[in-house]
Amino acid sequence: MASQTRRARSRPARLLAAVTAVELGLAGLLTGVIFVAVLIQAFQRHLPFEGLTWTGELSRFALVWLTFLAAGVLVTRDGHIALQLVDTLKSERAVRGFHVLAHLLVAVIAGLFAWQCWSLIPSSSILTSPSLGMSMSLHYVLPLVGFVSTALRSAAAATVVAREGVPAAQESDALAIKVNREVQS
Amino acid sequence: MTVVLMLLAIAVLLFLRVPVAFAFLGPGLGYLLLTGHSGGLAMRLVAESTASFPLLAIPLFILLGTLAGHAGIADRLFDFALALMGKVRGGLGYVSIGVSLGFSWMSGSAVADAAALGKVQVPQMEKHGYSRRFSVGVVGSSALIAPVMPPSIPAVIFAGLGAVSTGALFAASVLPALLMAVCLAVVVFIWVRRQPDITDVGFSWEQVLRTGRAVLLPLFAPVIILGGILGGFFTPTEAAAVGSLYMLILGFAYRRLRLRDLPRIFVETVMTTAAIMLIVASAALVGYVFARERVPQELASIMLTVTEDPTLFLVLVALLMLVLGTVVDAVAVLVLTVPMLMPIATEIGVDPIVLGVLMVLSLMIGLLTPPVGTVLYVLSSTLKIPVGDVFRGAAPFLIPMVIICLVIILFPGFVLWLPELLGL
Amino acid sequence: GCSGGADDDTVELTLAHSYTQDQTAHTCGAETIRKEVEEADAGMSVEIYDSSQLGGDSDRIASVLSGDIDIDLQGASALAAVHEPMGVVDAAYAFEDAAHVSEYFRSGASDELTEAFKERSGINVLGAWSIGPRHFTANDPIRTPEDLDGLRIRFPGSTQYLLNARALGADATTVAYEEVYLSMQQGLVDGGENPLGNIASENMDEVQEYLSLSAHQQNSNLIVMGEIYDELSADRQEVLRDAVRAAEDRMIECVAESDARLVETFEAQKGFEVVDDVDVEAFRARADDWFREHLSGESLDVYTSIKESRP
Ligand code: NA
Ligand code: NA
Repeated sequence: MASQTRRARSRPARLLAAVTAVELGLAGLLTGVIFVAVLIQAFQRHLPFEGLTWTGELSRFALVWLTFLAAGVLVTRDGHIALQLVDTLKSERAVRGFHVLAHLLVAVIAGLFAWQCWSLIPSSSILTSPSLGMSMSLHYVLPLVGFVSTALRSAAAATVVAREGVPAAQESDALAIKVNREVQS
Repeated sequence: MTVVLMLLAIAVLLFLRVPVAFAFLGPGLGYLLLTGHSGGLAMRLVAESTASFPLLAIPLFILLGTLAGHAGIADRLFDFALALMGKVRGGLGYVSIGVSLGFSWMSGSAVADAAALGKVQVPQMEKHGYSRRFSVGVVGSSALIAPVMPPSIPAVIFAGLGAVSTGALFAASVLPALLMAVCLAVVVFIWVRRQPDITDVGFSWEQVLRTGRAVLLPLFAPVIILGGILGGFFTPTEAAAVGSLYMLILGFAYRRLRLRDLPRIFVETVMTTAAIMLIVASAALVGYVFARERVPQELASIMLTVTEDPTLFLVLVALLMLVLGTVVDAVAVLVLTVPMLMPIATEIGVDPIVLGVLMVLSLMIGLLTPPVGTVLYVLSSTLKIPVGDVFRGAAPFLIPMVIICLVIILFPGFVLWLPELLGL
Repeated sequence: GCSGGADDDTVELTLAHSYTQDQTAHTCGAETIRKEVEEADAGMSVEIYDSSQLGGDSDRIASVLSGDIDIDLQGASALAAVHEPMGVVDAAYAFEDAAHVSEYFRSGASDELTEAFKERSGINVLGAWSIGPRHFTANDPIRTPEDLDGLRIRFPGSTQYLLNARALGADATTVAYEEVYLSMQQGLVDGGENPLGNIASENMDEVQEYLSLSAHQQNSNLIVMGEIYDELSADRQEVLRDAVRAAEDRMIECVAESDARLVETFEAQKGFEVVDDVDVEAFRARADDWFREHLSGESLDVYTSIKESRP
């Protein structure tokens, strides 16, 4: 039975891995952008040529984008910091129930924020950023992706936990630093 | 009324195990929509609070710590501390504190420290007859030096929120962080005198020299970072980037890092950064609701009727941080309370630098206490030890931390001496 | 937003800005608006949120657009994020003095600009004042454009300020406002340019040796209101406009007073020398040539309309 569910999950799992790779790849790249932009800013002041003025703005925007872009992956990897009082409950069913509920609530909240991003994309089009002159509509595209991903991943996690128990929905091992306690498997 | 409902909803969501960030985001959004604000405001607020220049130091200091971990700096520090202290009775306890102290100059958060150092040190200590509880207690409590000693992520956040100089706050944190190391060593000293079973590891000058050479270049990193800030070459944010570059070069030089490791390092940095920044962002949303409801002004007037005495005010702040720190993440507490406490501090003449050091230190104690204690969870999961055992091991070490808080409150000059000496 | 009793139709307006409670823009500007509106007894009240409590400058523009903030004080260069030519109001030496800023927006000369701005964004400009001219601080005196050679001067990061740097002949460096003090102290930048109020509130006098009274830019505040203004009755609109005018007059007095007091304080201070013989004409001529050569289209129109509004 176990091998059957594994085979049944392999396609979604592969899709998930691909999406994760794209999200993390982009977010990692944005971290690289911050690193390089701040380095440029640090060194150009000591060099004779005129400074680039957009480094500060670009790196601030990159921080916003990577933060929200990574929100979804953090769900799947149980990397969000949470209060784990319910994990100490004796009944496995109760723990499972709370986890399902928490995942569903996160899915709803993330869905609402995805809707907010969606509504901000057209309404921010008349604003441009002071230094890069970028349309502020673009500012909310990557956060939209992050919140949609969070909503979908949480909804999926809720289903998986409901069917197979708490640990099944997590790839905690994929996370270098685990913030949350591992649940007994 | 609506704000009370919002707080109630936050509490319920936190209890239901909804992640802290989302437990703030949901009710914050609910408040704004119920009170007739526009549909996009909540998202704009969380995005804006993240897009702050001082906060850029956070991913960069996390990158620095991650690079230092991958470059094997912790191992080098461990070997050196072991060579120095191995013969001393209870040496491994002091080694643990020494390694954390060394690493604290390169790391801004306790979580990375606890994860990186716990895995190496706790098994070593157990092998030499130290109890598991004690070992994990030493490692966990000395990991708290990292967020106090500069570079410090909570200090960066405080400086950004309170509009105080990051450089001055960094300088002011050095002595309290060193005092932490000394006080933790005193606890180790008292404990080992009652343990007949522990064994020592031996000592040779040759070892000391060999391992000492190996930490020479890594220990130059804090010189670059703090020297760069205080010497006027870089802003704190820039110093974090330059320090990361230096650590990257060291990693390549030591052949511990290859180009193909970089994606993994950047992804690790992303995950830690995002977890922290999401809480900063979501707490800022709740902070906006407080501002709209004039909560800071009301709290200030209540506080000022209770006391106008700076010392008593600091005692109340420390107590508040201790209590809040046990249940809410430290970053969230800072984002929510600094805008409220700063005006009061200014009003009654408390130095903002003293307030900052005290708040950071007293909040860090909460990292080791349930129910929300990030370091506690990290140690528990990396070492497969129940959370309760980690806490019982760490509890004795929390006493000196409280004493240091008292020292700061009673002798603020202790904190202000170094920044004043440096003219900050 | 609107709220209050349904029967008497009271309007409660939110006024937000980024100044602290002891800066003139709050005490003489925002507070005057609030008092005047309340005394007019037109069923309106103004609730002030100071110190960027409701967000930084650029964040609050978005909130004015979305109707989350009713009245806001915005620098023209920040409003350029909505309508680029608006930035020209902050051009170096565009105005003759602080009163000229209010005058320009009261006169018909600004109609084309404010109407274009309104058409693009839906935001109404009710009036404007200067929070005082911006001056150079550095570790060297700056008397002529040539004195700027080789100095790294911190300018705010938005487009108009960087154009001003070029027009004045300065080598601009951008540092976040939060890091300015430290950057000056550590010599990361050689100087900056700020209104006297900010120089004092950020303690820049501790870390700079000279204050050169160049008065190279009137630091504008535009009093802006979103679409909620259009929904008000003509009477109420009149009350608001009058309140803004009263605040403008009050601001001109207050800023002159507080700037004079600050110059006095700085003159008495050791280690911070006030340079009052800056060759303003040389700077002004240089900036004027530069803008007339480099501005074009609508922006140039705004520039000439300002210059011609007080011949
Ligand atoms: Na540190
Ligand atoms: Na805690």
